[in-house]
Amino acid sequence: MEEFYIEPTKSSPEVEFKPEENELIIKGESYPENSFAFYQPIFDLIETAVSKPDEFKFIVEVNYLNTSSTKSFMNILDILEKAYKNGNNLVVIWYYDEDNEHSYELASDFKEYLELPFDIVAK
Amino acid sequence: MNIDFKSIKVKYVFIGLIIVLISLIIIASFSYVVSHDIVSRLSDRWINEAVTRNSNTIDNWFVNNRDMIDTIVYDIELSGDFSYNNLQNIINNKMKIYKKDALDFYIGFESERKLISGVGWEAPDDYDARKRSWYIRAKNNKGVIFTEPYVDAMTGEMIITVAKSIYDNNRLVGVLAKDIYLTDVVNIVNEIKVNEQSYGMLLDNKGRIIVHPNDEFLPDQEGIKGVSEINWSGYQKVVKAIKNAENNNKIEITSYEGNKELIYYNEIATTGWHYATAVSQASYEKPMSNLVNGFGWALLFSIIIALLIMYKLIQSIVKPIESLNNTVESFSTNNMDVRSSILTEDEIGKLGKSFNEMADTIQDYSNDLENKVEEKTKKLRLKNKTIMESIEYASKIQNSIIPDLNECLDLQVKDYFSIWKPRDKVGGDIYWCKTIGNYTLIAIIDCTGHGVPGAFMSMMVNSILNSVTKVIKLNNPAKILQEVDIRLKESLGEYSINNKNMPKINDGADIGLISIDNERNKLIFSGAKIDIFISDKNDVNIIRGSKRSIGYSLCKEDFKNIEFDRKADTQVYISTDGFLDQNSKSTKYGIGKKGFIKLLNDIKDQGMKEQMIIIEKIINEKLKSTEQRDDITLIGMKL
Repeated sequence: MEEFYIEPTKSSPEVEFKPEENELIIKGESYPENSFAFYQPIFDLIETAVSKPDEFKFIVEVNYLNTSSTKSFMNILDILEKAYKNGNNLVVIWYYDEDNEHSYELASDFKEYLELPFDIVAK
Repeated sequence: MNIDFKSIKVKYVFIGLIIVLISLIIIASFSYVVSHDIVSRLSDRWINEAVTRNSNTIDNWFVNNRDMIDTIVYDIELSGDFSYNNLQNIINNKMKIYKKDALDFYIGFESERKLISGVGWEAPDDYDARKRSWYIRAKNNKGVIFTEPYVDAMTGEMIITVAKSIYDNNRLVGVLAKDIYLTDVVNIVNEIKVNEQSYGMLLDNKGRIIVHPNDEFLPDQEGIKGVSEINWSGYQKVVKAIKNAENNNKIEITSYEGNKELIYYNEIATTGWHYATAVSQASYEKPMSNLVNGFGWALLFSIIIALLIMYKLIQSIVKPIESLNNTVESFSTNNMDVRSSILTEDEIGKLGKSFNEMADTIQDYSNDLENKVEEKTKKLRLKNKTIMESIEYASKIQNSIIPDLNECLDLQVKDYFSIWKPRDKVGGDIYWCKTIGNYTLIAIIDCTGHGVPGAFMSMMVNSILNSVTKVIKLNNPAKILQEVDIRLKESLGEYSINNKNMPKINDGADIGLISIDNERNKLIFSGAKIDIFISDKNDVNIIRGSKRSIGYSLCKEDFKNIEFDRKADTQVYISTDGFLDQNSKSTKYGIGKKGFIKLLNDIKDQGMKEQMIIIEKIINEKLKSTEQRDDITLIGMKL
């Protein structure tokens, strides 16, 4: 797999995939005009990445997700949950700032409804 | 003056200056060496000639005296009359003729102790001429002899004796002698000068000083002074040179006054004496230093002239370059109309022409580009106007579905406020209100997306709510949410045709419903990812809605109704996440639910209108420094 990188903007996060570590990092704030279009290439990338024998790490460090970005995150996590249930090796690590109630609530809501390794870590 | 060493002008002037300086210094040095040699040789020759001339004059004096004595002796010998009378007559006669410069004519005799004198000098009794040095020397020499000079005790003048032996065939009769002052010779030596700073010197055949400007060196009563009496190294050097006949009759010495001197000398043939002229080194070098000064001035003038010529020349090259440079600089600061006026046939002129051509091309391109940009801008402006008008109109439509809460709530609550602030002209947030019989239902809706897509969703949810509330009672909000969820999914198509795992449309809404039941005097709340906040006199509490949202959601649990007693003066607030999550420049994150509870606690004792003003102020303050991230909707009610 090749490296993948999207530069951060004011309304979209930084996205980086590191093939050697099989690691996807999403970092920043997400309220793009068309969140589904923004996350579409990431859905595709994850579908391929999770099927590799190495453990796949999904590292999230977002300060803000708007309603439609939240839906897109649900899609990503949905894919990961299905992969996990199919026996793929993966983990979600969600970093949040202790002052950021929004990020923590999002993470804990996701964790509650998903059956997959999900670590919520205060920065 | 500021000199820019990077400029061509200064560089070339300096290079030129160095070249001129080097060549001039080489030429000047060479010329100086050659000239110095010539001048010095000329000086030497001139001084030598003068010295020879002077020594000849002196020699003539001696020759005259020698010849006179020679002639007298010759005449005596020829007459054959050696009687005392005849000889007395002859010397008396000569004395008369030569009394001007001769002190005395006298003859000493070999045969007896006798001396006759032209001035009638009577020798003392013990005086024997035959034992005097002048007599002995003349007797031993065939020719005329000159004695050593001596100082006359009476006059202080120097006197010399000239003498010759008189023979009668082979018999020595006696010696004729003449005493003369040396004054003429002394005067010649003292008076003839090569230059102002020169002086003459006369040395006898033993190198002793006869004439010298320094009185200390002159002969006195004790005799003539020589090397052993005079402690002057320069003089000793002269004597040595004369003895060895060295150095081309010219030597350098230190004068008795300590200055550098050049000595030129020549022999006086008759006596073997030496005449010498001393010239101070300074006066000798004077023509040379004039030469150096001359060369110095010539050098300076040459440099100044060379510099002027060079400056003018370089100016003529650099000026057009500067002009061209100014043109290019002016062009580069957007003055596209400037052109070079340097159009000469040389390289710079060609550069000027090329620049003008290039400038023409660039100007054409630029004009063309400007026209194109203007055209595009016009089109874009038009397009933008159309879109903005369209959105403006959409906004009117969205505004028309936002209910008048006054109609809906006036009779239900004591007071209320609402804040509706879409991020763009239209948005995904709306609120909704309906009263049927004893029931009133207030909804707050946050559709996914904002702007036009959000507005589309809001219209859809609005119409679904309208139709659902026709069949489901307003006091069962959970059931209404359930039904809205089903109908929205139906409308959007739940799953993608291509991928059964992926929802077709990733959209939905968060909805909060508050139902006021006048029949039972209750308040019923149900939320799809929306909570309500209730404050009474003591406290503010958050009542959580379901974590499930409308549309696609991870949480699948059913929506629930939460019932409260309708207590007077209780304040109920419901808000979409827009206000809670809005950041500002100073605060990275929104105030969140905890922050909102704290805020409500702070303002709960104020009137509803005042509370609204405070919250609006907070929002406006945040949006001063930061962009609005999401649509904001908030409703507060006092029961």
